Amino acid sequence: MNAPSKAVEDIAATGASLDFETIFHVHYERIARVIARVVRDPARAEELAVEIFWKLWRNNRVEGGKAGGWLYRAAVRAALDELRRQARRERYEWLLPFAHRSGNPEETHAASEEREQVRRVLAAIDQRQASLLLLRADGLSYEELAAALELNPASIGTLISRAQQAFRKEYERKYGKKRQPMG
Amino acid sequence: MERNDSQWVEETIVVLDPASEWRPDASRGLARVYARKGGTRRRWALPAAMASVGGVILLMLSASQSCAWGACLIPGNASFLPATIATPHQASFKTSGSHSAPITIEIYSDYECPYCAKYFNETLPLLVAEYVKTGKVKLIHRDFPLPQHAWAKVAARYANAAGELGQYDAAVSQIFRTQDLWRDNGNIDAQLLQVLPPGLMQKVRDMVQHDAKLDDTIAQDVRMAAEDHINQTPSLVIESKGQRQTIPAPAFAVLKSYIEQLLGK
Repeated sequence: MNAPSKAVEDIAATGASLDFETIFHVHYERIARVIARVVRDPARAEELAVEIFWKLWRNNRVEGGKAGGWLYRAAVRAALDELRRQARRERYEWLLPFAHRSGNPEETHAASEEREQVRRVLAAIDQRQASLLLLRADGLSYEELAAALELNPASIGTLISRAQQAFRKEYERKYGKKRQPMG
Repeated sequence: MERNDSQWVEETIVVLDPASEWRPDASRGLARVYARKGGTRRRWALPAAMASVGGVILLMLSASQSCAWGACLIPGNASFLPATIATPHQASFKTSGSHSAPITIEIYSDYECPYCAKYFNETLPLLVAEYVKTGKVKLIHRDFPLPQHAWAKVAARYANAAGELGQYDAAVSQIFRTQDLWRDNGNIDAQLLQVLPPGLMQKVRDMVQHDAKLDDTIAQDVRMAAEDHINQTPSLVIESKGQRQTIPAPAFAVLKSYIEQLLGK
């Protein structure tokens, strides 16, 4: 398992100056997972995660204690940019009769279709709202969200609420109302 | 009754959770970050790269002056590149391991760089024990004294003088081990006197003061660093099967994994 040890997480929580490798081991898995929520291909998610850590390496102005927030912000932006690129490609592919979409059998499955719908909605709404929803879904607290996205902690609740409304409105505009589970 | 937005969104977005069995591979990821830092270069590119070394250096010198993230970077100072070397001098004492080893690792270091000291004290012994002494890796030390470090070049002169007299490993080890003691005052001499006999130490001193060949050795390494796009210390150049890869010196676990990959295990 690649998850960081409790000791390393504790060091990171102190905000002490950490070397690059420690920061990498503390955050890599979670950053890759945040990206993988958005882009469909786990291998591509890891590529983007590597790209982000590479940028962190080059950007030595980011201090160890602030690296977590910087990484989440960069990760969610990179993932949403990738999602928008995918969405644009798909739009043009529909114009070409000989072009076909991914032949991955999983994508024919209903659950996969639902994932694609959610991704298209995230690609369509405001990037900051999409970032809030994705990082919130990853379990970030209000405080962590505020730090990662450089927002006022006092307004996080309101911003999340607006993001949820925007997401639902866009989803229902595109796909109609979801059937509610029975019981 | 219709669910509220919060609950509805949480239940909708949860479909994006990655498969539970999927685990991002941190070791591979870290190796890729390091590989990204370097880049491969074919042998035929060497003459062309030598011709354009000035341009390469200018690009390299855009980095910051600070030591951070486990490395010391070149500052913006184009005069760093040494003048033409009159008589290139290959210092054989800087090489250890079998000449027929399938992998050659060149380590570029600066004696005043704290990360280099840490690397020499902690990581290099593991590399030597597991791969150099077993004939799998040939190791070459290369000097890369950064201009922001006042004593790095003097330290390199001391180490190379000791090397010419057959005491290179002892001198390098002592210089790095005692870095904290001489970094402020440059008194490397006093530290080497702890491990080298007084008679030999006098010869080292004479060479440090008068032997211009010592500067040529350093200058040659710095020029090779330019060829290999080195812009920080400690850095490694790993050569295997005609491919050269420049990377910031990684942790031993990552280096080991890469060596094993090159050895085809």
